[in-house]
Amino acid sequence: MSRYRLDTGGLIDRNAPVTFSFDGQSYQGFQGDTLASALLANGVTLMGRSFKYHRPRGAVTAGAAEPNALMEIGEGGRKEANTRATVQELYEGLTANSQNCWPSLRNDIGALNSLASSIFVAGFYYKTFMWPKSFWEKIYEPLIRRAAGLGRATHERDPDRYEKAYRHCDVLVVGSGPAGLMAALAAGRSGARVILADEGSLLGGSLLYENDVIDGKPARDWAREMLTELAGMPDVTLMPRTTVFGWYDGNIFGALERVQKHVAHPSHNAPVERTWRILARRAVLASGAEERPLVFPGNDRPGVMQASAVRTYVNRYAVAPGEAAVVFTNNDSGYRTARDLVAAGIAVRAVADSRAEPAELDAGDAEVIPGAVVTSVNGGRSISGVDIRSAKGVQHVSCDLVAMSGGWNPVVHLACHRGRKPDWNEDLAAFVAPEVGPELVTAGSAAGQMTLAGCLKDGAEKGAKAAGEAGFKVRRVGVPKVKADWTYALEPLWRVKDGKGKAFVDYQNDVTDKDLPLAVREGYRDVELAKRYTTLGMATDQGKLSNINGLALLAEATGKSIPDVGTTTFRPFYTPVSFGAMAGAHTGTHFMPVRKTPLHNWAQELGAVFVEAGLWYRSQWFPQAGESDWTESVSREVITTRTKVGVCDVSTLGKIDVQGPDAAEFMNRLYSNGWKTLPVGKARYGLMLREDGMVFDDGTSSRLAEDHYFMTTTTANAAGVMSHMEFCHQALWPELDVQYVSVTEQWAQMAVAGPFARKTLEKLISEDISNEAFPYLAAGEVTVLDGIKGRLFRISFSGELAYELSVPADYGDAVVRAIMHAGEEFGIEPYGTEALSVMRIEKGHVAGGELNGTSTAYDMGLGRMMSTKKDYIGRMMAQRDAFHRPGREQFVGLKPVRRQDRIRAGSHLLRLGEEPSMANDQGYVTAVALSPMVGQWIALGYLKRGRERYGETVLVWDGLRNIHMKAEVCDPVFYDREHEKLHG
Amino acid sequence: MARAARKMSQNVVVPARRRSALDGVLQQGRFGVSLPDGPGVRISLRHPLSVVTVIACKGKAKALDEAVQRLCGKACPQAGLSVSGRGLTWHWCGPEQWLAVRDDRTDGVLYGELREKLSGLASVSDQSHGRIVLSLSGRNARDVLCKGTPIDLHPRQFGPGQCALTQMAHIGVHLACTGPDMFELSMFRGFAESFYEWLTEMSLEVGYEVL
Repeated sequence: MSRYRLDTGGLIDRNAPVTFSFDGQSYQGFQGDTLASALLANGVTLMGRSFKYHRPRGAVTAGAAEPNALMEIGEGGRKEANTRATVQELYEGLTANSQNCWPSLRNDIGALNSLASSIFVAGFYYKTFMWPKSFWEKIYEPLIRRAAGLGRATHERDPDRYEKAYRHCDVLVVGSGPAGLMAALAAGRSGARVILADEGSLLGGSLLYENDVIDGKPARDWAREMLTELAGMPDVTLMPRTTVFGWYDGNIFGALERVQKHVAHPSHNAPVERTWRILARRAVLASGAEERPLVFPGNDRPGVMQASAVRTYVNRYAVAPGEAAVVFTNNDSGYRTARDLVAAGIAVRAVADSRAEPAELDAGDAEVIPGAVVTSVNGGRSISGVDIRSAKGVQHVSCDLVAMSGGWNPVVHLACHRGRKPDWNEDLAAFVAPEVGPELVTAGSAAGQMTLAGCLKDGAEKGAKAAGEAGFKVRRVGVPKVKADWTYALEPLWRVKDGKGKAFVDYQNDVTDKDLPLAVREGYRDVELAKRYTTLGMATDQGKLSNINGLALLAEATGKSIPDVGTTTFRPFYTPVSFGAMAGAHTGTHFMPVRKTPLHNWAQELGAVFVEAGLWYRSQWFPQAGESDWTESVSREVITTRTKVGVCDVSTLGKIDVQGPDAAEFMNRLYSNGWKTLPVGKARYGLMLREDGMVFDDGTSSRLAEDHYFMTTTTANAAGVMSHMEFCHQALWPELDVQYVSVTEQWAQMAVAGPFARKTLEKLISEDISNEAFPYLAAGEVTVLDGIKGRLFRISFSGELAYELSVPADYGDAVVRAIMHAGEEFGIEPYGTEALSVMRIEKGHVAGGELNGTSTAYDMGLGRMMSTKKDYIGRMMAQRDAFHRPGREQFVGLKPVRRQDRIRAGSHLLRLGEEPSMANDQGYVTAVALSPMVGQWIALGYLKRGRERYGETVLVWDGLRNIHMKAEVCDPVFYDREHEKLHG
Repeated sequence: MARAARKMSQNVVVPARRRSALDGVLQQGRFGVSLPDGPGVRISLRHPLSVVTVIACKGKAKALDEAVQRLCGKACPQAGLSVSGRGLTWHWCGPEQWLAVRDDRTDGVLYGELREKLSGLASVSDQSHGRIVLSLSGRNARDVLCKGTPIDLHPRQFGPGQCALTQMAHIGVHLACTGPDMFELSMFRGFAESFYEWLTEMSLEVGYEVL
């Protein structure tokens, strides 16, 4: 065993050795280790290179705030950059690699940056890479991206699954240290539904690494007992490995659960990570406090650590982070580290206390030097000693570990996520969480309680209060006794002046104590500006260690107090959250739901190519063997339909049952044309306007009974029309006795069109559907295949003799197959949405491209659809002068002059000889089709005064493709202008 | 009716079979993690089923209550509640709107019955083919559902006889608690396959059996 692994102690399983690799070298650790503790146990202190100067770095923390020990974990699609080795649990076969170094971590050429550090100061990029401007995108940015950086993302597909979920509780407790545990116990014993969430793999927080005694037991044993009790309560949920990352409106918390980030082979049955949205009546924030580093020269060398991190490695992981230590502190808690190191048999060469007259504290047998500061650290990839300056002068002390404590910062992030700033506490020289109302209260050291007894008591009180406010009868819990509790007192030391070498404020972004005054001198005095100019507090750690020290230096440079400087803005996420966890299961085809029609399988069997129309998958065309181009398939489908018979799935059209005594009045007010005179058993084309007078939607609706209409809408607007109806009924005309509901999915609907449409349908339908009995625009109930009750509508979008047949959806598949069978002798073929579109363009029917929200019924040539005998939505606004200005763009047809020219939708129209400009713009193309009936590409569009300009040749200008052509303006009805076929 | 057929001109018979949206999708068997105490959830399709939307006419809520009382022995349920009686279940699904469900009527029959008996009191629309109803039950049913719905599913908050309109996996779902650890989920048929794929994926962790 390595000499860095202590013989006893720790929460590791010495019977479960784990093999892992770092930078290709194999090592051993134990179950219960983090990657960082296992590396330290193997004597590996060099774990990364810094962002800008590529300085060698080691772990400075033992937790979530780690700025240095960032690694790429995993291989292939599972590779994840910027993983903090200090929180990554060790598992068998774990592969870790250092990042941001080349050719290796030990010998990194980028470290030359350090030699030129006088030019790499704050704002370096902005100053250096300004000119020439054209160099930025091609040269400077790629250069910077390569030189500086934080690991590389994989380009492979993530093989793992992610999920999202909701959870509700009466009391959410964030953090399971002494305050959180007591809060959960108090709330749980009162009967409240409690969630106790903690980012750690084990619950217990600081109790897992502090050598305290509670109720006569070691703290970790006491914690285990309490957790066992909590686990036995049916309404308490314990959530380890779960980081509560954000606090949102409605007391909703976001949390990330690492379900399988600690296993060698994630099971496909479970997600690797899960994002929780926790809806809590009350929440207790017991997120603890983070120890501040001290700012002194060489404070970034591998081997310089938070004093509490040193205690964690020694006590929780049984790792000696060094063989001889120096403790550098400005407060009482540093002594705990000295005491624990001595107890573990690790030499403590000195306790340098920056306070001139510190109180007597237990430092083991270590020598305490009052009024002392560390002025330099010897070493590069590891340390060999420090210089300590005190009243006695400068003395050199050899050591390979420096445990530093600059005081403690309450972790206030969540309480500040909704905009409140934290409050400055002069005694603690730190910001504490603000009062944010009863929904979220802060407890324990997050609230400034810096003793164990204080945390236990505060947690118990606030947990009980939260349960009471959530409506439970509070059962008081006794506060356990702490043996020999530690005091907490400090004198701020914001930086060591006049030392040798760089003193870092922000490790992750290589911000030194010189950069902040420089930013101020250059005018970036405001805290938010100084942050962005120096990059202090940015990147993955978001300044958890650096921000307060940075504010203090900014205060010094601007001559303000720290609270006057103020903090930057706290935003979610507390720690990084993967994109996979944000997406959950909704990736790939499941990005959005897939909506299939009842005829989907049938169309798929026939080889249909599907197109997404909103969420629907619609059959677009049905290619046949030998067809090389989609236009070939579509033209065949059009010709078959126009000369024989075709069948098309139109199930996606919105269908709404409108019923009730006032159904006719309701229809009349919604549509611009009249509906009261429509006889039962008839269909009618209807136009709906928006309140502003523009055309909203169109469709064919039928009257099935005096008080029953069957409305159809376009596929795209189905939901919009339904909400429009709800608004109109609920807000505008609540007096109407009308009921309506979407029945879109109840019916499979197919258009059967072409000269043989009737002959085909006659074979399936029991009723007489001859032209006399069932003329154009007839609508009624029919019996299909001897038993199925369907609805038949004699309506046509294609312009052919056509019907739309609705049958209950489960029968759709059988009925469409029966139609195909019945039409076989006439040469029936299915047609898709493209053929449908070609035929409607040939007939000059408006659709999506023309119903564009900026066109009026007059523009579309549908002015006759606007009744003058009644009121309806949009009537008043449609009378505005501008809607009747003679220069408006009007609906026209367009035919390229050269027959072979392919006209494109979106092209603009110009007078011949005029330059393209906004002023000269005459209109645009809305839809195009290769028309087999006309024998060339044709188009629909809007053109100024279009209806007066039939026969004129205009320029069709396609600036996107740089294809321009001449086209003749014509009537938008290209085919069967007399509409004779409809009545055939 | 469900077996209706018609002789075609060439004397070919095409059987008209009701084909549910999950026909060919739903696979019976056990999937996902295998736990000693059996699958955490059981999934089944209720098909064929009669589902009818009932919307009260203006000012007729009270008369409708009486009519429904005669049909199933209970008045129309208030918001968020379901009632059952005499084989008929009545789920709230919106202000003065309900879904009437029963499984012992052939196609169109429930619709016809309600249309006649509630005439003048409510509008009815057949949705038997438009909605698909899945049953989800088992000790982990709530653990699976909470992956989709923000509704509080704790038995104290959402127990038997309660129902709600919600969204799961971006799909509108009518969710009803039909018994202890028993739920029914109903949605538009077009989304059924997509929803089923999501539901089964979410059930992998607890193990599921498709009946």
